[in-house]
Amino acid sequence: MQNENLTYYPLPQPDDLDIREKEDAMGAYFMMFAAMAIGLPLPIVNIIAAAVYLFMDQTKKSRYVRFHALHSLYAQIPVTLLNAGAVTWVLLVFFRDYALTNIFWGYIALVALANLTYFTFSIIAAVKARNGQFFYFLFFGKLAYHLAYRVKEDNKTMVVNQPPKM
Amino acid sequence: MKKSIIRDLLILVAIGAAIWAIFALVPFAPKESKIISINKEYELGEFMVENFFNDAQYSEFNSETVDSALSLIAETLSEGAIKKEYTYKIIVFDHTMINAFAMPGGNIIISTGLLNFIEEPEELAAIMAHEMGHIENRDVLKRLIKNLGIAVITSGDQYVLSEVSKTAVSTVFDRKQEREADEFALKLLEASKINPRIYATVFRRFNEANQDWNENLELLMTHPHNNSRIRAALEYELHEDFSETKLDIDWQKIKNEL
Repeated sequence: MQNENLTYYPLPQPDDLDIREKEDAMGAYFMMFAAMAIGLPLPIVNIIAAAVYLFMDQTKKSRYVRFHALHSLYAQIPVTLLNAGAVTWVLLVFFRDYALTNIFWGYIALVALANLTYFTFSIIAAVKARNGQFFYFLFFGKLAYHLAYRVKEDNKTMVVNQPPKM
Repeated sequence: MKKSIIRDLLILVAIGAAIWAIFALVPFAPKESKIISINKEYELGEFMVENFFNDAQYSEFNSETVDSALSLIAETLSEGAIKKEYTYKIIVFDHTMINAFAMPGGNIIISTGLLNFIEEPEELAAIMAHEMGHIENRDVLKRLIKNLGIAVITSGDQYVLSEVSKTAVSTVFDRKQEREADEFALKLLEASKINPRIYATVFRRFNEANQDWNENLELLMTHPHNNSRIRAALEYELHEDFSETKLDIDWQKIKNEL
């Protein structure tokens, strides 16, 4: 695939993928549910877990699994930051007497919606991944595809072995 | 591809900002303080004032000279008020503490200690303007609802209400409420042809008094934000056509009455 001088590896089709890859890809989404529960009220554990999942045994992971791991990890970052912001703000309301303004309630509504959207789309993405399909979140889908499937410049240069200089 | 990723990121940020703005700007539920009508608030205020004077250590101070001077200040401020939903009632109580506070329903309670501390009527106008700000913004009610819950405030139980009254006397407002009451007061003073800079003077004097005379200084002195409010009063931009009119009150005569 050619795009703005970038080259991308072809996407695998459902029949090209073995069951292990499909389950690993699905796991990238589901492991964060458990991690998120452990991480509350300081939602950081899920990010660490997602990063560990991504980098663990990386050499053996296919691009398909890498795409889904990146997709899940990057989508979690803004939701985690939003949640951390909400926890901080609520603590300030309780302990520092911050006012319960409309801006605060608007933020809480945004955090609730972001979490709901993230969980819903993660389940859809996990089910699709289990079936060997792709599901792209807005922004994160393209970013993960770009990072997992882009052909790096180094790979395109043919290495030609030379005899030693005499 | 890279442009497309950046475009998607901008769309995502815009959606997030729009959701935040919509939920922040659109009131989805009536505010709890609005559930209590102004008439109900008047009733509540009347009960609270009565309850305040039931306390053995406080008695109402009556003097025609003082009353007429305070009425003149209240009228001057009421005429200048941009937003005015209440009819104000100024009540003086006999106590050496330097204090003034707002009660629901347009009641402003002032101690004789404060009247003694004041050097000129404009200083008292500044304090009253501040308390009017709390009343117009329904701050006492909001604070009581936050601390005790709406069910307690609207309860008809006399015992419960007398406890509510005691809480109201020691109500401490949050920074936002104080800042809004300050902004209200500065605008009101200007509109009433009283120089808003007097606000800085009176709170500076409170700060100075606080350093060497602690035992009788209460609520007004314990505001942690006096320095920032002094700065706000000094930085306040007056309209070009502002002209000051001094209040026609002989303050020394008032002090002699106390």
